Amino acid sequence: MAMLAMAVPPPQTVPAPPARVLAFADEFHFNTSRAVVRAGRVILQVKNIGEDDHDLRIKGPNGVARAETGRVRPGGLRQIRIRLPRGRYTYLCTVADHAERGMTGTLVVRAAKKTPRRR
Amino acid sequence: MPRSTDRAKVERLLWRAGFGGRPAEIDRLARTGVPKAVETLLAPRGPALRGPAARIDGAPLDPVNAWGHEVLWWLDRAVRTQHPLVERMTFNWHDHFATSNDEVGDTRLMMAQYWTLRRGALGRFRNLTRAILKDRAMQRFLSLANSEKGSPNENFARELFELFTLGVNNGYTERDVREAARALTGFTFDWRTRRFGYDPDKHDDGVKRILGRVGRFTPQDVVDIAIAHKAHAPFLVEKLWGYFSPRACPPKMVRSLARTYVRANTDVRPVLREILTSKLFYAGLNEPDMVKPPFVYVAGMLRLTNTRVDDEGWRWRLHQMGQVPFHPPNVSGWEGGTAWLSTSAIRARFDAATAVLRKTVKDGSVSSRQTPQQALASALAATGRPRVSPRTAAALRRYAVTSVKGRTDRWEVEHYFPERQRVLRHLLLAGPDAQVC
Repeated sequence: MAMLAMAVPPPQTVPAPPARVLAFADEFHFNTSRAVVRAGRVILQVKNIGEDDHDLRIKGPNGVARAETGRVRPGGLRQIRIRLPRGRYTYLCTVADHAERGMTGTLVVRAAKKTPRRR
Repeated sequence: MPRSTDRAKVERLLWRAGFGGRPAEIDRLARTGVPKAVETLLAPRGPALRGPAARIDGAPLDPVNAWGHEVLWWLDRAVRTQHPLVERMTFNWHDHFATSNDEVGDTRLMMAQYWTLRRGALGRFRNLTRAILKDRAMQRFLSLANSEKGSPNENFARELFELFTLGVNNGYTERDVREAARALTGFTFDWRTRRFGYDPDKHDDGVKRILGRVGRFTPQDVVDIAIAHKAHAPFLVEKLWGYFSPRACPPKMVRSLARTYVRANTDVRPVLREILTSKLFYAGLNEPDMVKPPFVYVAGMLRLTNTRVDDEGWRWRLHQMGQVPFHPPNVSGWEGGTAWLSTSAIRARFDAATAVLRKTVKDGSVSSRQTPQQALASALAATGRPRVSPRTAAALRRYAVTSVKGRTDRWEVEHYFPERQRVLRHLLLAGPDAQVC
């Protein structure tokens, strides 16, 4: 019995695919595909469907910027890959007065699911 | 074995009314005869999809949350469909009621529109157009949402007549457009909450005159009035014909199709039956003249080679070929026809075949004992036995001989025999015959 137990390899964790969020940017809104994601790796894409340049900066619960896309030209697409612990994040466009005009939003990051294990 | 003419007809049918047929599928339908094959397409049974779904980097597609995945999602459906005419008509209606996510900016709404189009794909056009009137992606795309009394937006009214129901300057005036726009007011969209609705207070309930009729018309009335107009049936059936044949629809046939359409109370199924069983649809089987639209070409190639969508590059390749689902160039849809065959688009089609064939035949994997006939047979089997013209067949046979002639050194055998196989497959997938149906 003990021999059998020793023969079984230890369980391997299966890395969950990164959570994806797609934000469409135009004058002067963000339309994000979801407002809530699980904690962990996140791929955040910004597609500019407007006529002006836009960008997206995401700030942590403490107000500190975590990442930003850099300028996205009209028609362009950029993405950032970040690891986000649980918390309430805000995002905004830092171009000119776009944030004041409405280009802001909130992303809630919930606790990660228990990682499934594979034998 | 089915007769070769029936087989050729079914092969055309499955390309023009679907996304190409696998050899066994063609044989099975050809044995039943063309009329029954058409009925099978018109009333499909069983699961809509077969085979494992697309995966990217080992994970399922995430069409709403990942840019480009919505395109792969539709491509995957076209590749795996077992209801090809339903899927193809969904795509045709997407071209007809062209709406682009480049302006809508909401993939969830675009996918909801996909299902609206699919539900109505083989049904009554009136019902489909009524559904499109309320479709949120369309309401955003053509500024129908937030069009209010006092300042109606004319976009949807104009396209409803010009592109969706009557045709350019075909039986309506500028005044009809303006009056219809008044009747179409009242739909709302809240940017903050992203909620759609209908507010009777924002609807212009005054009397309007539209296409010769007078009344306090509602948005749905406008659709019904346009569809009841005498110019509608000929316009729509000719448009439908154009999705299945590059040849001009003869006036007699337009009249016949229009009669069928009106008698069927705008049901498109009998119209499609008439088109797909007509002699003209099967004309020139030995010299196909319809250019496969890129989406059909790619889906068909993946289908016939049993290749799963597993690469985000398909969105880019479709873009290079000029046709990305959910992203038509404008409200008129895609131009189609020989416009698909620009130099760069043909290059992209070649690249697509390269992508399908990557990793399929490795150096050292083909024996020097393989004869030219065996090489060609193997390539045909691997590419779904596509139609090959006598001229192409002769060229392929020549190549199968000359490409390995005198290649006897070990390194030559290891490279040139697989290379012959790769080239033959590539030419079958991307050569001139493969571009038309």
